Order: sequence, then structure tokens, then C-alpha cells
Amino acid sequence: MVRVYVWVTVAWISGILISLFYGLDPDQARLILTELRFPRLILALSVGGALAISGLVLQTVLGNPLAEPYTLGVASGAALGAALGSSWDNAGATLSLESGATLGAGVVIALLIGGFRNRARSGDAMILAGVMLSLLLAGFLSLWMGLADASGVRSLQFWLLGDLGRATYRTSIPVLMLGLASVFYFMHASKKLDAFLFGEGEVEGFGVSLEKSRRVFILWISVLVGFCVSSAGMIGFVGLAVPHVLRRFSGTSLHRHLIPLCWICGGAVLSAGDSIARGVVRPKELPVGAVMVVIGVPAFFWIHSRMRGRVES
Amino acid sequence: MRVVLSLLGLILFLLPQQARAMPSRVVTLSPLLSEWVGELLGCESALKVIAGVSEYSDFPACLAGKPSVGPYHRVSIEKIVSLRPDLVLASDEYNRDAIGRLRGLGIRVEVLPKERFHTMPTWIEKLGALLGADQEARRQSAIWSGQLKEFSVRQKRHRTVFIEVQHDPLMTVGGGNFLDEAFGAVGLLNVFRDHQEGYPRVSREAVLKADPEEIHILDLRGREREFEDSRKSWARFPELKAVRAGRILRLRGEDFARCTPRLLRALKGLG
Amino acid sequence: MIFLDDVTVSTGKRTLVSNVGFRVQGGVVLGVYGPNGAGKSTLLRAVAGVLPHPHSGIIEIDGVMISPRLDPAERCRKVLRLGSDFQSSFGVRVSELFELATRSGGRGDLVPEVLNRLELRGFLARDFGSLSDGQKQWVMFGRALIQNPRVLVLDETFSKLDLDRLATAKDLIRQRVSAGGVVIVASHDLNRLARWSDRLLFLASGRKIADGPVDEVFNSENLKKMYPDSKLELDPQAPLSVRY
Repeated sequence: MVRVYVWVTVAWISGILISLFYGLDPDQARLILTELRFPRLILALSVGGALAISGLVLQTVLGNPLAEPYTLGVASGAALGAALGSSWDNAGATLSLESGATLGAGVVIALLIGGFRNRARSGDAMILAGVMLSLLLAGFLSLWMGLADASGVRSLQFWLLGDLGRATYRTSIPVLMLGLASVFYFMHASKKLDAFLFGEGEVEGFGVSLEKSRRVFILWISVLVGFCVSSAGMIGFVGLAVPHVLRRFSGTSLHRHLIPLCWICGGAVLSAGDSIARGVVRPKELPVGAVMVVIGVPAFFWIHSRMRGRVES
Repeated sequence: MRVVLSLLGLILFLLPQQARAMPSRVVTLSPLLSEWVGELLGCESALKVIAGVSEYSDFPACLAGKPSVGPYHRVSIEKIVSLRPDLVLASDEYNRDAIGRLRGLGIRVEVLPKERFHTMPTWIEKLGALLGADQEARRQSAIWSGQLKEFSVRQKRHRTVFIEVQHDPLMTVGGGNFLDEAFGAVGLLNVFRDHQEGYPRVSREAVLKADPEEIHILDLRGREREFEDSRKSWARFPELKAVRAGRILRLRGEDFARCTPRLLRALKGLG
Repeated sequence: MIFLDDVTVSTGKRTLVSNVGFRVQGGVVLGVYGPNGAGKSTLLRAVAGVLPHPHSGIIEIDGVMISPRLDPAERCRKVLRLGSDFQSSFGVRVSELFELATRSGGRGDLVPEVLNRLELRGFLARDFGSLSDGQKQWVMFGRALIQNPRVLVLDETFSKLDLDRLATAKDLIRQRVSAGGVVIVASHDLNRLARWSDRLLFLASGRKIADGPVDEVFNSENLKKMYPDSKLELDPQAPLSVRY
């Protein structure tokens, strides 16, 4: 187990070093590092970590290995909110995009709370509801894109694919704080999470309330995901793949290990991906969400096949 | 009396314009600005003064070797900062968050309003003042005003036109666009001038309904084939006035892409 | 120790259990039997407090009312239910299952004893999902023993155990009840059930047919009540057996 932590921490540190120093112009290096790269790094580490633990918790709590942070529709709500926000206020477009995203996420969370009041019994039912909601919101977003001004759509599209470039201390520190708080919270609740490992039917048998804990965990994750999407757009892959890789790599499904491991590893992965997105075709920037998927998916399969049989009989 | 004089002196001293030296490291955030800086300073001076340009700044050609700071809709703050500019020129239309960030980092950013065909003279002079090239700016501004005047008194055959900017999806020029105004100045009335957007997407049906007398196809990439495909697709509608009269024209899009002296020269050939 | 009175469970469309009541003292193995669909599982879920639907009537264990509102941690110290099919979505080791059991109000000191008695040491490093159905049932039984509830409800939990393990299970159950606990076993194998239990509870169509000591309850009359149209009869050559 120690070995696993060491590897993951090494990856984390590498991610940090690459982010800070790769392709750094020696001219104005200090200013660039402190004002641009460092806040961006904080955001990458925080969002990556937050998405990874969100994916982990949702997979556990919904009992489905395909669950990931956007399954329940929070991100689609944030995206739609961002689109509406940016078009409603063209003068202060930037600010409104972020507040629109936050508002959109909030509306979806409220819907989830209300909708799940009586339906937290079945993980599959929740997933279905979440997928439907996502589709609906994505549909509205497509409608908006069809009707809106081309330049507005263009800047939104970049944000939609994941954009860590807007990071400032003001936007990244809160995500960091919330992320760390989440790590502590879920580690404290790791026994309750472990109770989900044997299926919905066994949760109560370990002294954990199925419905109540599901609702609370999903609410917390939704808020966390909402923050992430509002500040960095939609970055996929991290929330789905990192928990799976770590389960295999660490050989355990116990959450008191997986939670901190996911947080560290998610941050490492996203900061590395962001460095690539930013550095490969300088000064143009690739959208980090796309980079994550394009590089991440083949890497995932490669890792998966190398580690087959770690937790097998 | 002395008090008044010294106060006046103090005010003059504090006026930023007077106190500031001419910029020596300029970064432009749009190809339009790059082109105009080139026009106002001339290649030799521009090469010394310009530290970085927006991506796709293809005019004037002498700026080709200058470092790029990224495309106009998304510039790289890091790149700009590393160039240590003392003046960043930006357009009102894009990059609002980048402008904010740069100013937050203590970099001087001057924003020019979105260009409009009829108010270019003022725009040119404002840019000239920022660059310390007032004389040349006045000259260019006078040329522009002169040309505007010439267009207005010239005998024009007013015709309705459809300006095709892109074939698929079909995109044209809207009322807020400098091109709409430019075409209007030479008597070509854009059938979609009521649209507020810069480059609205329209349906072919809408064009059929508007029934323009001419169709001008902006050929942005100099590809004969694409123009032919566009022309043929319009020729399928013989009920259009433009088709019956055989008035489907190809315009070299490059010249019409920006509100610069090239546009004026190209417009003279129209109308 | 277990007290049920007039318990009815319905989903709105169907009534699964009607007006069932019984009492069980500590130190007893209660066998629950009925034809398919008689309401056994529903009743046992109700007793364990894990019913998805609300029920009317009283269910009390050691004076504490069992309902979904009861704090789950407290409830599973009183009563724990095991079904017959187990799964895990992700790779979990058997050792981790036992760790979880210990943290869920179980007794850590019981672990070595359970591991030895059930010969589970060899399974500790195995992935739970890779075990056979019977092995899963066996491992879960071990987990239940570690969690050590007052009332253990086993709903067909031994359906796939081999003979050797069945024998051990029987001994362990008797051991539990002689220490004062209660074990409720539901099984479709009436003959075996009769041999394991002190008392029997018969259900049919959601209603209680009979309830009492095995000798009193296991008779043709009750058999006929549960299976009115069938030709089943008691085996004259073997005590407490149905011939089929």
C-alpha cells in the first residue's frame, strides 16, 4: 500500500513540475509563474482531484462502474447556464458565463434533491433520471447554439471543452478548499461508502442508511462538481477513469485509501493534461477536456491491460 | 496669477498623454490592428516597434516573422506577458477577460472600438495617437474621408445584393458589420442588413424570398472550385433575379476581410 | 424477545403479508416455511427492518420497535438479515469484508474464532466476486457471525452450501441460540428445516397457517392447509419428513 502512495505522490509532483516549468519563457518568468501558472496549477490540481473523488463516490453510491461526475446532469445544467449567462450579458460576458454556470448547476442540484426525495432506493433509477436530465439540458444547449451568434458560440465551445486558462487565485482557491474539505469529509465517511460495495441490498446490513447516505453524498458531490464545471468547464475522463485505474493499481476498494489516492492522482493527471494542452501548439491552446480524452483513453486501456489480475482470484 | 500658472503646469504634467513616451514594444490582439499598425508606421518602423502579433496577421507581409500571441478569440496571456509589451492593442469585440487579466498584471492595454466603415477616420486617428504616429494617421484618415465622400457623390446604380460569406452552412453579412456598410456606400444594398448580428446564418429560403438582384460570393481562400460549386448551387434557382441576369459575382475575400485601405481599393472596383 | 402483532405489508396493489403475529423467546431457532410466494421473504425483511414498503402492526425486538426510521447502526446490532445471493460491483477482498463487519458494530475478538471455525483463512486474500455462490454464502455467514446481532435472519442463505458446511452451520447456529440469541431460518427444504428448528412458522398466501414447537406443528393437517390441492404426505418411515 505504501508503494502505491509513493507512486501516486511521485506522479503528483511530476505533474506540478511539468505544469510550472515546461515551456516557460525565461523572460518575465517570475511574473508568469506567480500570476498565471501557479493559480492555474492550483485549479488543475483541485479540479482534477475533485472530479476523481466525485467519480469514485458516484460509482460507489450508485453501484455502477460507468458512473462519473456528469452522470446526474449537474454539468449539463452548468453548461446550459453558462451559455445563457454569456448571451444575456454580452458586455460583461466573462463574469456572466461563470455565474450562469454556477446558477445552472444549482438549479440541477435543487431538482435532484427534490426528485430524489422518494427515489433514493434504486441506484439504477437515479442514473436513468440523471441521464434523461443530462440529455434534456444538452438538447436545450444545442438549440441555443443553433440560434446564437457565431462568435458567442465559439467562445462558449472552448469553455465547454474544458478551460483552465481563466484561473486566478480568486477562482482557484475556493475550489481547492472545497476539494480538501471533501477529501476529509469522505475519508471520515469511508465506512459508510464501503457499505455500498456489496450492492444496495447489503448497505443497511452494515448499519448504514441507504437512502439518507446516498442523498447526502450525492448532494455534496453535486455541489463539488458544480464548482468544478463553473470554474473550468467540462473536463471529462478524469472522473470515470482515475477511480478504476486506482482500484486496480492499489488492489483495494476501501475508501479510506481510494479517496486520498483519487484526489492526488486526479490532480496529477489533469495538471499533466493541462500542460500538454497548453504547451503542444504554443501559443495556441488546445481544449484540455479534449486532450484528456484523446490521450487518456488509450492510456487507460494500456494501463488496464498491464494491470489485469491485480485484484483477481 | 502664478498660482494659476503653476496649477496649469501641474495639470499638464499630470496629463498622461503628454507624459508618456512613444511605445516601443507593441502587441496587437487582432489581425486588423496588426495591419493598421503596419500602415501607420511603415514596415521599417513597425518591425522595430512590434513585439508580437495576433495569429493570422498576414498583412503587411513584413510582419510574418513576428511571434504570435494566439488567435484573436483566445490569446495566450503568458505569451503576451513574456514579450514585455509597453502597449497592447485590443479590439472591443473579443478577449474581454484577457484584457482584464493583462491590466491586472500591470500591462497597459488600449482598447479600440469595433470598426465601422463610416467612422474609420476617427478610429485611425485614435490608433495613430496611441502609436505616436499622428501625422501619418491624419493623412490616412483624410484619404479615407475623401474616399467616403467620393462614394457618396458618385452616381450609383442601387441594387439589392446577397453577400455570401460561407456556403455551408450559409452565412452572410448582417447590419452591424463593416462590410454591410461598405457595400452600402457603393450602392449595394445588403438584403440582410436588418439582422443585428455580424455574420448571421440564414436559410436558402430566406435568400429566395429576398430575391436579390446580385449575389456576391466572397471567395476567402482563392479556390476556384468552391466558387464554382457555390455558383452552380445558386444557378439551380432560375427564378432568382440574380440568376436570370447572370449576376453571380466572385469577390476575392481577402480584400474584403478587414476594414483597411485594401477594402477601399477593392470597393472602387465594385458598384 | 421478538414480538410481532398483526403485521400487514402491502404495496398498494397487492398484500404480501396479512395480519401475521407471533412471539419468539431467546435461545430458539425459528424455521419459517411456506409455498413459493407465501410472503416469507417479505416477512423476514420486515422483521429485519429493511422493507421498502411501510407495514402496519408491531414489530419489536428486545422492546425496541423495528422500522426504517430506526437508526441503522442500532438496528443491525439487534437484527441482521442475510439473503441468498450476493454480489459486488468492484473488486473487494474477503478480508476487507470482515474489516467492514468489524467496523459495523461487530466484535473484533470474534474474528480469529470465526476464521478458524469456518476455515476461512484461505479466503482472506480472494476477491469476493470471484467466489462461487456457495462460497459467497459461507463467507457472508462468517461476516454475520462477526457482526454478532441478537437476532440473525437467514433467508435461504444456506441454499448452496455443501454437506460439510451445512453440518458446521447447524452446529454454529445451535451454539448461538444456546448463548441466548435467536436465529430465524427460512428454507425451501422443509425436511432439513424441521431438523434444525425448535419452532416452526408456516405461511401461505401471506397468512399465518401455524406456529409452535416443531412436533406440534409438523403434521398432515398443516401440510394440507399449505398445499390444498397436492398429493404430498408425511413419510411414515422417517420422522419429520415429507415424502415426495
